[in-house]
Amino acid sequence: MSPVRVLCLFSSPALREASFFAAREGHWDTEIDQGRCELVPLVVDDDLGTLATSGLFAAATLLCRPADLGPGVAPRLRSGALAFTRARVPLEVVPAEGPVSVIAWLVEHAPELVARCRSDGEVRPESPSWWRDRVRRHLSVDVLPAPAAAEEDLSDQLRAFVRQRGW
Amino acid sequence: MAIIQGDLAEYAIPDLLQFIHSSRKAGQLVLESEAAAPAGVYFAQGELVHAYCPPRKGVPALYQLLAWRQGRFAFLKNVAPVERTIFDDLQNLLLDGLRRLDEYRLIADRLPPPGTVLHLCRTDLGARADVRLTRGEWEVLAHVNGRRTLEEVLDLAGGAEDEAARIVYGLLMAELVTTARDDRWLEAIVPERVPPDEAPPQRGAPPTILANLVVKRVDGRRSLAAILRELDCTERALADELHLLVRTGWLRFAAGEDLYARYLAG
Repeated sequence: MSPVRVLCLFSSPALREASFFAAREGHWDTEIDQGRCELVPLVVDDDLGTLATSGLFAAATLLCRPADLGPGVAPRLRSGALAFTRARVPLEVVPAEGPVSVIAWLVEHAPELVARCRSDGEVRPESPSWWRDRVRRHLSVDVLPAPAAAEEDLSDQLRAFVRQRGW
Repeated sequence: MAIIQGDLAEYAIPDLLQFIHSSRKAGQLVLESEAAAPAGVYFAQGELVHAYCPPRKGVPALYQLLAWRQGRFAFLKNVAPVERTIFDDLQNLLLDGLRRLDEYRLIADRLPPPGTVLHLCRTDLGARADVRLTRGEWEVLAHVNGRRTLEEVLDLAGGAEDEAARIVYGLLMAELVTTARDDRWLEAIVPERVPPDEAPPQRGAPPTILANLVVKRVDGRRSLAAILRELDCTERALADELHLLVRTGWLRFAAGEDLYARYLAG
């Protein structure tokens, strides 16, 4: 039986170097609840869309940080996200640091990725067990984004709510 | 999808929680601050269901978040939590959390700086048979080892940070824990040389260089604390050499033999 392949994407070479994958060449084989799993590390480049549609990968996790998110990255991520959606390959975006900054950048430059953002605990990319847990959780839930809901900005309501409380 | 973003200097966390609760929204409030690891809380139809603030989860994490005054937030709509750690009503949690926060601030003013290393007061722990500690106090005390800082001890203690801080404060007040290295017990121990005519017949030379240096400084008047200061070695290394020298018939005690025996046993 062929292994489940998961793409472990990094927003920059420096982030990959700071991860568990810096200590090894190529992919990493591991066992998870879903069976044998191959974790394939890659720094985001223009081929992201091709990889998404290759049929090789069951899911992808993109680890990113605010310092790597320049305006030039947005088109790559947007076209990559589109390719993943079309190929029905789940993609999650995990902020390695500054989650609110990452969300703010996504809202402005790649809004289709906001729904894929997952900031739900400690991020330890240097630890193999963190990757194993990440992939196990990623594959066990449906992370394809929900159909786009109507945009709703609650900022005015929040301001009114706080003003009404009177302090 | 991020329907609110903002600054915690402008909106207090209790206000944000109350607002999401009263709007009956589902999703994740993501929080970041320069002073701490990223944190967040999850709502399901306005009900608070999960909080994390590494290394804590659940109610202790929520209580810790209530102390945040600086940072930024974003609310992601319809993001579901991976687990549920909170089952209590938000209003009760806020009341309890803010009351504890007030108490914690009073205690925090009296605690040493977070980077201060905590030490056990060994003499007191050994000698005071009347000390009765709760399970929580033992759990905190177990992390005090003369190397960990106050901040590390509070993190390792688990549970709510204010509870651990209250316990550390109590232990400091009871003088079971100290911020200074406690070598009073070493002052009370005075070794002396065993004269050649009382030494075992097969006594060889002191077995190590450090043992030689220790023997040279032992004169029946210097305490172990004074010898330790002169040799600039660790307390453990000195205790090991002393043990060796007592066993090989080189040293005995002019004073404090009982303390030394208790130290070895502990």
